[in-house]
Amino acid sequence: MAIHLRTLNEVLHSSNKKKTWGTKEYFINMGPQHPSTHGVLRFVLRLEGEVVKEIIPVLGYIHRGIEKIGESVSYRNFVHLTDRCDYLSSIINNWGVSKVVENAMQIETNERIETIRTIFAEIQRLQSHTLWWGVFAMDLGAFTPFLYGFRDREFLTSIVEDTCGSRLTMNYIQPGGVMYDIKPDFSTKIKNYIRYLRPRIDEYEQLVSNNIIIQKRTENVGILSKDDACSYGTTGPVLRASGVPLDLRKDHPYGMYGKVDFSVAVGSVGDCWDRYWVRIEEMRQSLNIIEQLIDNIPPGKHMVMKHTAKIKLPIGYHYDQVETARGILGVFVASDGKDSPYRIHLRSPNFNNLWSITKMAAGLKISDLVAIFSTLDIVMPDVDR
Amino acid sequence: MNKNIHNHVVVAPRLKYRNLIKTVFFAFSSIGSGMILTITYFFRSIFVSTVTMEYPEKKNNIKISDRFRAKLVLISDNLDSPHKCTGCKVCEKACPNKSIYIMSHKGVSTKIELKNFIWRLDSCTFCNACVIACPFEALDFQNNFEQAVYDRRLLIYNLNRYVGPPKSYISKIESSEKKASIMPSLKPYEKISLQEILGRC
Amino acid sequence: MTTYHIENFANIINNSYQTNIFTIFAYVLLIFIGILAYITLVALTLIYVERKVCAAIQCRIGPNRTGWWGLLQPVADAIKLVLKEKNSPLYCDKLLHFIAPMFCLGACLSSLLIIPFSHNIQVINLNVGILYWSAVSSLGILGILIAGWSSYNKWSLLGAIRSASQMLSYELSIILSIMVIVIYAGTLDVQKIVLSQLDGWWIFKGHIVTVISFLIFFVASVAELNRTPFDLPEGESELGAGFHTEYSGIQFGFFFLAEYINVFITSAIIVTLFLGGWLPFHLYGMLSFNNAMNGIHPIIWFFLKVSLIIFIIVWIRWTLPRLRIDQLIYLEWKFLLPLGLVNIVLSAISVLYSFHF
Repeated sequence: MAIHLRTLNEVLHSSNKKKTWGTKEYFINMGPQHPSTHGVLRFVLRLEGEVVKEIIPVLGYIHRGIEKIGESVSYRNFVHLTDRCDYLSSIINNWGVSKVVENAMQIETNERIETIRTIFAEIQRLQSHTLWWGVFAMDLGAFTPFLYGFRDREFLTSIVEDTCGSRLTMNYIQPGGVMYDIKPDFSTKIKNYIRYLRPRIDEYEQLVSNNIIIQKRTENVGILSKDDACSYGTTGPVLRASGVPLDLRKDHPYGMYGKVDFSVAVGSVGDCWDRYWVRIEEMRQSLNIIEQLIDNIPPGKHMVMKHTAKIKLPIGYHYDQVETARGILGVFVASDGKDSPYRIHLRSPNFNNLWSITKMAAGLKISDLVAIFSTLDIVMPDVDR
Repeated sequence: MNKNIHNHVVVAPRLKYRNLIKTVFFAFSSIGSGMILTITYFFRSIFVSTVTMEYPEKKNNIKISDRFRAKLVLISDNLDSPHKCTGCKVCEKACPNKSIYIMSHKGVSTKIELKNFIWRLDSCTFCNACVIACPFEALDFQNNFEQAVYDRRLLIYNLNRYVGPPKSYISKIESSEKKASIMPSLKPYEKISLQEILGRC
Repeated sequence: MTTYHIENFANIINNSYQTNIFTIFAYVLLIFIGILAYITLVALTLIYVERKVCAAIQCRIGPNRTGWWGLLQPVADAIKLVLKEKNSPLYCDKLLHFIAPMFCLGACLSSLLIIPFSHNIQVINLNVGILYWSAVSSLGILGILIAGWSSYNKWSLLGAIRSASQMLSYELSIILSIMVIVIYAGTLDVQKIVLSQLDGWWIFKGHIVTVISFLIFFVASVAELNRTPFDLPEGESELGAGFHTEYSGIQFGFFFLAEYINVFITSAIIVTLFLGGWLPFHLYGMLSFNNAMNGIHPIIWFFLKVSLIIFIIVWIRWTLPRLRIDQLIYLEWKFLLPLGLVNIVLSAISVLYSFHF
């Protein structure tokens, strides 16, 4: 299926402004500063009355040149830049770059490192999804779930701060291991938190999922069929909600994902309700994964490679991918054998997920647009890098 | 996809179809249960405690982890127990965006000594590379996060308090006379001008 | 028992002073200043209550720095609004942009005239009290439309059109549920409606019919007030600020004030019609309890009941998400309106055959 994208100029000049009777179409700018576009994203909407006919995202407002900076810093120093791409699941981004380096240099990490990495990746997924839940409800008009989501996220943030040293940009998973070893009281804190969060997810269901207004606003709204989802290259919960059970943790397991037992949440139709439900279920499955791993952290070293060792990837192309909270992050390195990569490219999940809105929003109203965009869970710095 | 993943798949349920009367009852019950949840939090906030606390008044209740990265310091940096920095500039090379400048000179000992250790808080990303890279473990991050200033120039810190040899040199001196002869050469640092720092890069 | 203020004061004026235009003018000015002072007090209290209740529901503390327990926070808000710069868009329609907030404020000021605080505390007791209120409250729609149109801003226009359609539709449901109580009480006069509840509040006396009517009135009035779950016109997540995007300073303050006064007025009308107005809470047959309840002044009863309704309105705002515009209109025209009509027929039948208590 071919996707036809038009440039902004083409769209502006092709609308039916010459009609003399009937309703005219008009352009409106849902600008870079808008409470519900989750960052600096500009939408140019072609509306007829209240109905959206076409939507054109305009990107680039937070482009910082991360990939270009990567060409002049070493691999070890590039890891902290990936924190700032998708800042809500930053440890998983670090894992992406570390994985490429380790696979290319054929460094074997031990089980302790992989267990710790998996636990922290699932913690980040929980953090990202609780924040998403709050923001989703806030976009639809209910303001209190936002604060409930932040309250639950705060406990996790303080646990992560205790181990990693920072609250948002952790720079924790380095090539060759993790930066700090976990503290002795880590397991007890995590177990307390799991016991705290399980009833909270039921409360979330009581407040938001079982609410008739949310159900009426998300059911059969913004349907993304299987073929469309695959053509646009969406990954993560967006793809899984459309019915494709692609989860990197099950298909190409890395870390300790091959050794734990969890289910993949999949939707059936691909509307907003499915995307919402898939993320709530993913939270539950993350709790299952953490529960299975937290008691059996094997002993060992937390960093296998010396920090003075030089990282030089062999000449050629290297690619590896991880499953972040929003989709598949792919790290592609073209190396010419030197200290810093010749070209490093991050395949960001949010970029592909964002463009699927051009297909979904045609024929719907502005309120539906806000609901759809909120379930896609886009973080703009990841789109623009 | 080589592995059979279809036995581990949880499919989202579709919403039940309800006719008009059931919709009305469901509306009332769902809105009612949501409201009961918020009212329990309302009474909990009034009679038990809130989740937030007032910041400058109740500062002592905040527990910041000791690994939190807020301000770079040289470990034990005073005249009684000297710092360990030798001015080797490994941290300067490890820093990804040039937030550390080391100025060194040849001092009392035979090796290179530290003269000024400049750290720029306004461009540091707190990535911890310098702490890990230091071969003498001379650096550390403290966790006092109240670093806000009114003038941006105050964010350029000079970390060392004296100019002289590191701890490894001074601790080797057993005789107190020789120590006394070196001590006068340890002087507190003098202010260094911005031009000199910026001229270096 | 009802005394007309003007008659009383007119007697006093006749006996003590000469009635000329100046005393009447002074009297009207006094009433006007009194009303302004009252609405300022009400608005300030409501702003504070809303913020504190919102904070408690969200497990936070709320304003607590301006004055003891944050009591001066609304005063700080008011001072901030007054001191802000007034900037209108360049190509806006200047006259309309200027007078739009006045419609909203005028509507709610006029509605305050007939609220019965107590048996002899009321500004004026018209014999068509309720009808006057439903007529005057429609002026607010005009203010919103003018504000949206004159702002020269597509987002404001969208918000204003949504709001106008929403408020027009829900006016009908309000009038239908008022009609139920008027049929039961037999009069449009507000004080007489309160007095007809001496042997029981209408929500208990006319059991099923008035309960349905109360619910319809409640839902419709929350929609009239443009509050969540019906706050699409000022939907913050979607439109920025809706129809009052281009307003700043005291003009925005007028819209803000009008919304909070309307909350108070609507709660007062609900209390008057369904919950017994200023009458105390009596239990059937418990004489000593009833006598104790009578000891409390009626105006305190009035404010207690109004506070309860206001608390429920604020509580609903911070719990529920908002409805989409077509769901709003669907709710009104396909659900509340037929229900209201059936309700009126049922109320007429129950009055004819005395099916109520």
